[in-house]
Amino acid sequence: MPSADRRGLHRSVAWLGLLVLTALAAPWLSPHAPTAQLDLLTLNSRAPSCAHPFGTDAYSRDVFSRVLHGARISLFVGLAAAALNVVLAGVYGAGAALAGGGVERAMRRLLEVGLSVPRVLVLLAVTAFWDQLSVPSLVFLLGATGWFPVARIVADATAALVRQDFVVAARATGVPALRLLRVHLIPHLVPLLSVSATFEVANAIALETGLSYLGLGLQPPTASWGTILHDGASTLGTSWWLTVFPGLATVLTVLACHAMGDALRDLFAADHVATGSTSTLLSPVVPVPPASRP
Amino acid sequence: MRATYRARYGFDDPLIVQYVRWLGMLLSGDLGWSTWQQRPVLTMFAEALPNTLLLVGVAMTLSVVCGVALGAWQGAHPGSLRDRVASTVSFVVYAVPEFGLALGLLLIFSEWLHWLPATGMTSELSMYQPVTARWLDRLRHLILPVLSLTAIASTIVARYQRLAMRDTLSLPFVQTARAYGLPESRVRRQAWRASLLPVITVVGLILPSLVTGTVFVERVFGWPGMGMLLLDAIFKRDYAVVTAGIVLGSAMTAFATALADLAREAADPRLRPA
Repeated sequence: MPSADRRGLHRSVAWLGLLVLTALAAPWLSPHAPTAQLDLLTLNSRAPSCAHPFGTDAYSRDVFSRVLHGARISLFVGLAAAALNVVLAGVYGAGAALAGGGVERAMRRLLEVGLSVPRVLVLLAVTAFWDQLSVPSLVFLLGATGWFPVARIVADATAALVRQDFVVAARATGVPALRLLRVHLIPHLVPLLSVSATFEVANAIALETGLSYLGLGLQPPTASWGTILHDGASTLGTSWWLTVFPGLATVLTVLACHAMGDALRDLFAADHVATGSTSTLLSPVVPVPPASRP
Repeated sequence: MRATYRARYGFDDPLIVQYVRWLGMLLSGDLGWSTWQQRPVLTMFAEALPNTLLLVGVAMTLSVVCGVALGAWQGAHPGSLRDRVASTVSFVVYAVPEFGLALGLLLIFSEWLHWLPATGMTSELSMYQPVTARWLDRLRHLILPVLSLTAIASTIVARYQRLAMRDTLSLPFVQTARAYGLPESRVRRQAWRASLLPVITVVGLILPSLVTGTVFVERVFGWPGMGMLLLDAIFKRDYAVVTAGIVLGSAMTAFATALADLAREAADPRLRPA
């Protein structure tokens, strides 16, 4: 169903593009400052209306403005954490595969240790000992955890690449290591890494929102989708708009990232078929990973 | 005051001494002393563990059954309209974060429709009810948390089962069975049994997802299990409970993953060492 897949790609790119624009323009688009308490006495916990399309919270802040500003945080955290993640996974995975021998075995054992601990438990453990999480430290935390599965795939793919004739030939003619990496290896790893990065953006956004919802991520005055959900958690029955709007924003964004990742993977898989290199000798044997959840 | 407390909990010793002492205690089955509830951490987890196991056990069984059924049915008709609709739905459920799904279910079925209770394991008055009503009450409290966990985990299983079933149906032995004139239902049953092998691995794969799910789902539905205990301990700065929770959670995940590996080896003779 190539047409359906394309439609999914277009829709997800459209939503993500809109989101990026919204996030960039949030200070001009939002009618109020995200932390401005408009009128504590008369404007607290108001249901959605024309003046406040997403309602107001218990501190009389405009939820629409807060959700718009939350998009900035979610996107920044998602993109930055995914970038850090992919760089770590790429360096570690490719490094392990290129080192070979005992070093590779040791590095792979370490990876398995990392893989056996659920990511959320690591994040909870660190946030328990970390008082006030700022946005950069959260990015660091999300980027530094959860890259193990990708590193393993990169290591497998690099190990397979290194055995290919063109790499053997390049090494035999004395191509220096850095040039080998830049010209011969990295181009083949790009599809894999870009698809992994797309899914990781989804994971990081979901985890940031989730942690902040639990009250462990970003702290209250900051307007992020998770902190709005946290504000609304105790008054779910009465102030549903505090949960519905940031919740929908999170779910739609995560869905769009997943759809884009799936579509990208199909696109790369189609490229493999289109070039017609069915022989295992010629086709770059880089499997593109399926979606992974945190 | 501060000094006596520091001395009592041994916080004055060098970190490495504290760590070795903690490791030694852990190996002898002592998880430490909770500064928050003033009782052994082990008894706190002993209370919370059955609740979590109930939740995860039911969710896991249901998600394997539902996921295998859905995936096999999809894989038997790949590309059909029903397959595409089911794939789209399961894609959406798969991608939605755990707390998003849990909050959505809570909002719709409990806050708006008032069909099911929102929080806890039992109603406040349940201890005064007759036995059957009490069981029904527990069941009603179980539905939404289990549904949240099951929905996500079963889509993971279904994804694998669908591909496994589709690939198995194109194998030579299925062609042979068809050529012999076996009825299609029997062919499918044979293929389904052969396609189950890769699915066993997935049981190990859904565990980390269930751990994540348990933490969020227990918070959303106020379920007094290990996830809830862990979160409460984090807010109370009770580090003995936090470390014990993390160690227990990781150990259980690793143990169950190893079990899944063993099960796969038992089911597939090709994986056994010669």
